[in-house]
Amino acid sequence: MEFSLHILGGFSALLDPTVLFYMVLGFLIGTFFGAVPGLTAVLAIALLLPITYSLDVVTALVMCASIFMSGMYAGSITATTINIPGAPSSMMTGVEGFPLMKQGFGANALGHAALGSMIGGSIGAVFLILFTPIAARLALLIQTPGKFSLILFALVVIGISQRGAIAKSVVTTCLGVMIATIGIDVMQPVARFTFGTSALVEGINLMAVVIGTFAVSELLIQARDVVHARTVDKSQVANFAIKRRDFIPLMAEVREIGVWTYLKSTIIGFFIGVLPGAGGSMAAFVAYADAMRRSKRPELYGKGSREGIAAAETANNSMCGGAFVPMLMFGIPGDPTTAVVLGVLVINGLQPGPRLLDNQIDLIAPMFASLFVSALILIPLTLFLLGPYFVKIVSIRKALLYSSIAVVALVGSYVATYSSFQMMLALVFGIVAFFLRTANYPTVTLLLGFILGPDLEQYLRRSLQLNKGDPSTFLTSPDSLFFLALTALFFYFMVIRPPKTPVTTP
Amino acid sequence: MRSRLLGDGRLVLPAVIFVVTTIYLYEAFQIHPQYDEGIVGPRFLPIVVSIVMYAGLGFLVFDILRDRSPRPERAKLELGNFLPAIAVILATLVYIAVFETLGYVVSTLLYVFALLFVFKFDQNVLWRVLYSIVITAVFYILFHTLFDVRLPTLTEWF
Repeated sequence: MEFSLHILGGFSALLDPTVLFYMVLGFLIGTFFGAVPGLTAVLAIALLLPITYSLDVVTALVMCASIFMSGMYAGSITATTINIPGAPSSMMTGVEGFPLMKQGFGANALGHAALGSMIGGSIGAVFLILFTPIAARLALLIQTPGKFSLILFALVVIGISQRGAIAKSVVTTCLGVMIATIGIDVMQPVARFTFGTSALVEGINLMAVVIGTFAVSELLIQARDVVHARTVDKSQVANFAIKRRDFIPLMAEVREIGVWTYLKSTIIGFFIGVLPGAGGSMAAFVAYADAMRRSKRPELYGKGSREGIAAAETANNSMCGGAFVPMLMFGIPGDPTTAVVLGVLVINGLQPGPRLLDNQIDLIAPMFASLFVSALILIPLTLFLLGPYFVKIVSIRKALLYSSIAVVALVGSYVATYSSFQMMLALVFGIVAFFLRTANYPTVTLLLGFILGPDLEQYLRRSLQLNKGDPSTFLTSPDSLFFLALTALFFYFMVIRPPKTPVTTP
Repeated sequence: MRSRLLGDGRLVLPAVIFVVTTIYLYEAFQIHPQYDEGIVGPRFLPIVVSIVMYAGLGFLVFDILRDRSPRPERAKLELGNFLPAIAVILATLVYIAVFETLGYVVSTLLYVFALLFVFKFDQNVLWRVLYSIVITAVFYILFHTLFDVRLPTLTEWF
């Protein structure tokens, strides 16, 4: 009952003009970053990270939630209109949306994408509100060895979910953990890997890693690939003409897609979001493949299936709610965006875990409300108001865009400690991430290794200390055994006997 | 043949990471705990991570050497492709070096101007200067006025 009251309080917190302003601002920023090819919602939140020092924690979290939701939806805009997904999670939307665009139903496709995102995002947020207290109770049952095994499970699953690049993800995860070990030891007052530099004794700031990995590396990649002056070619913008009334999907089309498709895609998206490392792309892909498999009109897939758009967009927005569950209750981010949101929590002194619901629910509830309102109200409202101008808005000169991102990223890193040392660290991590990305190494595993590394070490050492160095505690403790068994199960089904890749287009 | 041995350049990064890991492992052995924790002291995880890293690198090198398919043309490592990125790195290095000395306004103005050049902003110099001023001013307002961040100024030296 008390939890419900807090959730209602979260909704009323959104009525505060400042909070409301930042939620709408976040939504617009997320829409822009999600829609512009090359920019992502993760980058938007990474750039926001330094600003959270100046913002109230509620405002910062509300803004993060609206960026996350809108960034996930906005990828469908460029995917549909010009066949360049603004975000990887909109790949399947592009497969179906662009053929519809060519047939003259571009606005209709965007309308279906928005409707799916609206349904998936809002029900996903409701699921988050319902499941968080359950997850909190489960989290209380996990003891120290179990916490170690849970983090190990998360790292292993994140690693093996990078299909085709498992060895590379092992390397980058280890790199992340190695970076995290720089500075004072987690248990003893011993400085490690400082190489005689006092500046490294305090360790590496999360901000430098996040900004380096996501913002500076993107800047370098865009500099390397600078061929087109604009993010979207001007000739593609010229042919884009859409009327507002065409955005509204026809009732007959919605009926043909069916309530079950929306609901099932929501459930798929939410639970894929709960899995560490899976993310929006996998949610969209699995829901799309499932919808195609049981479709009454499979022949339309690849040629402009509204059902395919609905399934993919419902699932990737529903994933947003799911990804928050492990992050808030176990401190394990479900995807890169929640990894950065975790940084916002930590910077503001909030410790993820079951106690968060007891002690600081008033700070978290507005974020839940923001996810819900962003999906239910802001997605259709933005489409209706800005829809006809979307492609013109996202067609921006790269030089101006990336110069601005560079300034925000570097000055943002300076804000962390008012020292140019953080800027230098951001540059160093940016260069490292640039070379890793150039060679197709996953960098999200580096970030997650960095975030989860200290807890992994702490729980490992505490478990062994409490059991006089006996490692069998990880097998005799039921919660730990459960997560180790789960790790083995995932490893078996994803590495030893991986599922066959379904055909995406007929 | 030499190219094949180097995995068409794909072995360079694993080689660099191998060297970094070896230095890391050496440093791990130099850690002296304040008190005895048994086998799991401050050096335990770094040693374990180094071993896992070596295993990961081993698999990676094995994969690269086993892969006989030619690399796509665009993925080949050519210095010419990296020149703009190197220019951005150099500009950023200079920016960081002078940020506190010259202050936000002057250093950012110069930095943005340099980036507009690297990103081939197709306007004449006057427009570049104008856009540099606009970008610098917009983010000055954002950080200093809106978020109350104390930015370094040139005048604090006088």
